Amino acid sequence: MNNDSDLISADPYSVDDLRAMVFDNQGPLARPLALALLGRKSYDAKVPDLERLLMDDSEAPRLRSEAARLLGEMKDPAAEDALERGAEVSDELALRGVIEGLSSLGSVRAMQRIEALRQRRGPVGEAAQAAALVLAHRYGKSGVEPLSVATRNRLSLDHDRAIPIEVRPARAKDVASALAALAPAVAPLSLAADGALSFVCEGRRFLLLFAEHLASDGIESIASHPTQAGVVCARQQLEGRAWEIWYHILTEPQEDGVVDILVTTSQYRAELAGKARISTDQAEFELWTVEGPGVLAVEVRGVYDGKTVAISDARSDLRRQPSPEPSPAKR
Amino acid sequence: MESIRDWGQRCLGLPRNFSVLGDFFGFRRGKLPTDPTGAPVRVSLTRQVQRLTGFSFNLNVIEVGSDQFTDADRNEVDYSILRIRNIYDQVEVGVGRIQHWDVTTQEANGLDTPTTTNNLEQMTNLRSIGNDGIDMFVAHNFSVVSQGSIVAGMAPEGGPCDKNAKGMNGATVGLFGSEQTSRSFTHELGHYLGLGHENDTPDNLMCQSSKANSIRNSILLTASQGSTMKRHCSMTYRCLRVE
Repeated sequence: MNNDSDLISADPYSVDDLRAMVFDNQGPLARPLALALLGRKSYDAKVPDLERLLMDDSEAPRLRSEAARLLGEMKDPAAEDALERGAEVSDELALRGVIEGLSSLGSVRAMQRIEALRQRRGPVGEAAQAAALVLAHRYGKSGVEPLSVATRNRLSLDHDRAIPIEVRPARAKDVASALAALAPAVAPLSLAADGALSFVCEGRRFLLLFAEHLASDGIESIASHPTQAGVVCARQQLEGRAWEIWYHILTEPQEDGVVDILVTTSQYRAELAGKARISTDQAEFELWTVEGPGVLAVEVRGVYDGKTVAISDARSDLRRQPSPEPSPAKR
Repeated sequence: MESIRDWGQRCLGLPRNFSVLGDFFGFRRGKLPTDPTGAPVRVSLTRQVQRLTGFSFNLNVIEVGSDQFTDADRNEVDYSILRIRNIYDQVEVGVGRIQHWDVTTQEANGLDTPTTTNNLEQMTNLRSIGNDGIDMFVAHNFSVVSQGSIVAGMAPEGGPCDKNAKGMNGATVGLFGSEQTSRSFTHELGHYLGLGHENDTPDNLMCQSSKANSIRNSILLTASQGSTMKRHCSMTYRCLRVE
């Protein structure tokens, strides 16, 4: 089944028109839409414009949050400075945008700023904790928070109704276009073209791209320190066909040659967990779905030989777990 | 003849003492929404009853990040409800019971701010309503881009009625101003009911907004599109009033 979307292009609007709509509320578009479209444009005053929105306590939190995310997209030192200043704002939604922006930048400075926000309560602290976890693994740094695989509940797969997931080497053309699109998003992690795998799940084709250090550093790359071992990405089923990261694969060595593995969503919710057991020259691993509302039971087994990862068995359920009902709205 | 109250109770499962604008028409604020152009807004009880004696479907509107929604945001949602009835009326498809549900920011676990299409899929699997209505998720801080464009909403084409099926089990839309939100809301539910894009027909509802002639007026549906919608598994047929 295809997913379809409604798209709105920035092309019909000039930067001046969009700025007038965002800052003076003059024009045909609502301000959130005008800001989102302005974010698709490049122009000289973009960083000061976005910082102005982010820092303005009288602005709508939604606009401030979006401004922070757009600053993070820019990968620009001036934008990073603006986000650092933005980490001091008190509005919670704006701060969550700052965390996302800093997380997109992925620098050491950004990671330190995010770590400083981990102590906050509620969604801000949770967002900071999760973003810090991935960045720390990307930098091979321990101490943020353990992956705690042992405490995560396994959702058992009903083998009678499970279906196999076909895994095969990825097409070079797909790998090249995914790497070109996603490399900036995972910096400083380098993703390798070699060894990439492709699989189809829920009617969608995914790419499994591994970190270069898996091939260059051998088993030590997962045995000696926490790391990000790779990403799972997919193409949008939209006209733009842009690549998106769906999952981050994190590993963390434990005792006795065991390595914890956690696969998180792009918003860092744990989706799969598992363990690898290291013998002299290879690591056998198993991954399974972490219990949660609406999740799909999956099991994956394979071997990492110090150079590449091979999947020996991958299966998924046909139906999701039930999701809870939300609360009825109060009028 | 059966009273409207008895009929609403029997056909839509409404409480005996239902409110007309809140329960029967499904406006969350319990009053008529305002039109962004300032045009007067009217609804017709007779027309709505007539429509529901043909093909119709029920709808659940789920606010994601509900504690962040302002009265103006809810007006956008209610305006979308007003518009979807009028737009689908051209192909004789009614919108029956509309219920509203809340997912707070804390419960949303970050999905009040979806930034990828994966987040949109996750949103539809995070919560679901155990009734026969289509689940429409309205995220407060929708921020999904696709290269040079903004994604205003996303839904599966011919969405499932089994809410535990694989993939996306609801439709999603963001808040981008009443005119845009209402068009995207109606467009995405069109996908869920089986319609594909009609990008060569810029006055059609199913033409993407980036290619449409007008956000307000590009809302046409053809008889053939209506037939497709009527075949969707969520459709009910002929809840007649007893003579």
